Amino acid sequence: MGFLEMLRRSLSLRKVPSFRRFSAETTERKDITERKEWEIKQKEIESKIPIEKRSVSRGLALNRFEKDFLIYPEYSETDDAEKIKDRVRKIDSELRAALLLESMDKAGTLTSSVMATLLKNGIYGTFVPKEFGGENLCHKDLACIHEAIGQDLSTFLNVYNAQLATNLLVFYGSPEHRAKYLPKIASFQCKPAICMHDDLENETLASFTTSVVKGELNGTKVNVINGKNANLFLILAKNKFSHMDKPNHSWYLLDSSELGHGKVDVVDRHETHGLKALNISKLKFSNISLTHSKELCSAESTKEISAEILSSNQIYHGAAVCGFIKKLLVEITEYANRKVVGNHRLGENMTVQKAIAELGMNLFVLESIVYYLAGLLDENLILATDIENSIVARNVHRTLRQALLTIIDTIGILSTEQGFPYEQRIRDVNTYLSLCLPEFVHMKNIAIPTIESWITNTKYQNVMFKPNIVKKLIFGDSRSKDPKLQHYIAEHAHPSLAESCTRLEQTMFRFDGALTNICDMSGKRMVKEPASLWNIATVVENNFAMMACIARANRSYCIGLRNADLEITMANTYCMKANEQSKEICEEIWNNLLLSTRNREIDIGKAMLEAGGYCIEIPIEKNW
Amino acid sequence: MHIEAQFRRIPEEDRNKKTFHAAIAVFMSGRNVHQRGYVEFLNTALKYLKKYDVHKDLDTYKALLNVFPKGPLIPTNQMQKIFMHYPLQQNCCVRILDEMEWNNVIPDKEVFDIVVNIFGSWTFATRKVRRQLYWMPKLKYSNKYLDRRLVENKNLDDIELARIALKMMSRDPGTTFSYAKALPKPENDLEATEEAQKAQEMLHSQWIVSAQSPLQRKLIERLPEGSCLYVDGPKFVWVMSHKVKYVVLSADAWPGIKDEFVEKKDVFDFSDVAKTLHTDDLNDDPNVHQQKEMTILGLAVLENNNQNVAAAWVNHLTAKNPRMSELRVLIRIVEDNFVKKLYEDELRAADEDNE
Repeated sequence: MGFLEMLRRSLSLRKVPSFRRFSAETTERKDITERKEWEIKQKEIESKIPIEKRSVSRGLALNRFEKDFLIYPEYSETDDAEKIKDRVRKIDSELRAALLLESMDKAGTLTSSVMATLLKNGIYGTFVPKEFGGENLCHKDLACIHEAIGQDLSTFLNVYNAQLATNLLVFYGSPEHRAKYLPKIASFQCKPAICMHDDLENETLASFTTSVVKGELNGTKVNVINGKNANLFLILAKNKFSHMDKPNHSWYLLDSSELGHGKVDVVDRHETHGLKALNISKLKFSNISLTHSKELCSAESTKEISAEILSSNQIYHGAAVCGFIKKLLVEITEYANRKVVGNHRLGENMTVQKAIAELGMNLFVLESIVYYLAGLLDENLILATDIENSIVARNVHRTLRQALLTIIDTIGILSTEQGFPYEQRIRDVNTYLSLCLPEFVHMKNIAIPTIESWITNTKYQNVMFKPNIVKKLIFGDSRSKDPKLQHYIAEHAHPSLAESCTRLEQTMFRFDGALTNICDMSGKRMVKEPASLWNIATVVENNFAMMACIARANRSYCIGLRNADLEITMANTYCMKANEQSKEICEEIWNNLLLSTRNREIDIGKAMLEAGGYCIEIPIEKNW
Repeated sequence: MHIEAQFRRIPEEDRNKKTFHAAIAVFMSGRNVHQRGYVEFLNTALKYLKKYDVHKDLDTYKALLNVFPKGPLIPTNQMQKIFMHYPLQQNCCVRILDEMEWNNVIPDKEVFDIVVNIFGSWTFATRKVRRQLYWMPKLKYSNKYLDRRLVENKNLDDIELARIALKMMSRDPGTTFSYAKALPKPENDLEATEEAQKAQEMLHSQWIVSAQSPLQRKLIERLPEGSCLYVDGPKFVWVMSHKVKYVVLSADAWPGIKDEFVEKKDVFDFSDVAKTLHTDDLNDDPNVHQQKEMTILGLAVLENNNQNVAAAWVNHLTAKNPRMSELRVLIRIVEDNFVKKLYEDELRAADEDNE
């Protein structure tokens, strides 16, 4: 079993800490006992707050509605909004000009003009706390800035790498680490790199070769972004002391100026066909002396940090992908409008219009979710964002896949021709998707915490002890009941969105009943049933996205934003499609035969893997 | 000093936002403890808004509303709420808000707060500002073809305005806009020195902003032999409060354009299904430029609408549409000051008589 797979399992099965906020507060790093006490205290506070106020997705899954979540978060002062818009406009235009000057594909790294733009606009200081020389912008501001730099995904991932390291230092680093490195990251004196993946041949957690033995680090790390240029390394290594039986894993901070007699070599550069400026390298660490002071955190927090790296902060990925897709849409629409086919523009072709509409809809949903989450975090309205992060990640996947299809449908053969920007976009999207966690992992991260919360909050009883048959005879099952309105969500929104609000409520009602059935029929086995998990994750995602889209369209129409009527149309269209999909899924969950058949679909994959390919005989084969 | 004199005494060249606000400040500083006379002042100030060119400035309206005293005008009992409390003052406030609405100035929350602090929550004047705050933002972008943020409160020059107007009018999203200058030839090419040529260019070069799409270029290529192109204008279009004159390059209506109201199409008649369902109808249909009366092949805004500049525009288009050199072009421009020139003799005679 690979290390990644182990980590994914651990992510999916354990409860991810609820407080996932990246705010200005810098807490002193607590030792183990203090941190545990703090966690216990937080859990006590948390348990007093109703679930629908702690987490939007969990509340919707439990058929509980909190009307504050229907208000789309915004800047309270117009000046704040204008300030960030001006800043973003400047970054966008300067970065656009810098990207045109020199191709990063040929350079193989971020060009000097792009770096100059990032440094001139203080991008690296935007996520560093103020007391360490940064600006510590709020989530909405950061989302806007990431959208501007996301027009090129290599640039975004380089900046995001530094942001990730900053967050780890803020939450897990000691005061000395923070005071030493955070100002340097803000001023770009420090270029961090995160070294998590061990050599590909030794992927199991237990057989990590990168280890600290008698205070010396040796090993190899692969897939290190910006490894070649980095001077601060965050390394995950095995820590085996002679007096301990079981090896521990810890995260270490390694400054390149404090290597002593050891060295860090760039063994190899991973030549990706897209995102060439990302500089993904294989690093070898030899004889580097590490002391306890270089430990970023204790061994207990190792998995937490790994979870942070793999699956948190997805709103910034979402924002960057929004920026990328918006730029792509400008290019595609310009091409479609300028190309003449017969007596019309290519843009009048129905296929092209449909492809662009699909991409536009996906972008609308992703953008709504990203800024919704960012705003709620800024206003401290939600506490848990683990499920929401995975929802954003799934939407990012979906939007980027749709982008590939739209490019191919619209541009055609030119999309693969060198010299045109489209083939670079395809390569970049392909590489970006391969760097992300697979969608299946995010699906589990959505489904399993939802089920856990649902069972805890509804006080679900073991089906073996429930008098189900009698109950069903007397009350009927909830499938046969028409979804009744309980929360009257439509009263809180504009009348144009009344249908969509009703659909959301109906989905919430049906899902609550469907979860009962799935727990009754599958029990704990459901965590191994891919179709069940997919169904649950899809409905949770649809609910959350519907909420975000309705809130956004409501706000836009009420305050009279430009093209607000189009937003209403898009929100209504999305809600209708999502509602129909959720309705079908709930029907499938109720239909046990269909669900179990769907769950056995992976057997087909297993058969092909065992056979080494497609194992069905050709249609013309004879048996005698 | 009489109220009107405060505004009238400022010479025209000094009439601006600063002096207008100074007049308001003078009134406010000279107020007595009873705070009388503000209705007369405000009614007078409203008359001078346009003359001071502050009729579109939100800050000015806020300054005017701040002249009202805060507190004494708020109704305190039911009878005052039922009957219009301080009707003269409320009407004056409504006149100010009407002026704001007429000049398309959208109030913000601060305006609402000011009016509520003056008159209370549900009075005649407050209802007016509530309605304004509800409807005006909703109707702000009712013109889908123009993003008014590009125009309002901006000092746009004629070239920028021309581009915005052409973009607003061009319904083909593939339209490209180009900027050119019409350079007149020196009278005597051989004798003109380089400096003289440059000086003449500076004095007489006329700008042209042209709009043409790839589809229009294709239509020009497909025009039959012997076709005639027409340059008509100037027609005018309003970009918010700015008037922009433009000219149109057109050809005769494309043959085969059917009047859809004349032809009967029975959508549910499947008798000819093999023919009707499989036609490549998109390519047969006329495009947006092929109108019933004419085929529109380009738009432009000229600095000065005269024959020479129109000819320069035709030359500019010919660079990208070589087919135009084979076609006849008829320029039918009504020159600027055409009417004045037409009656020049009569006007001169009238002036001489007066003298």
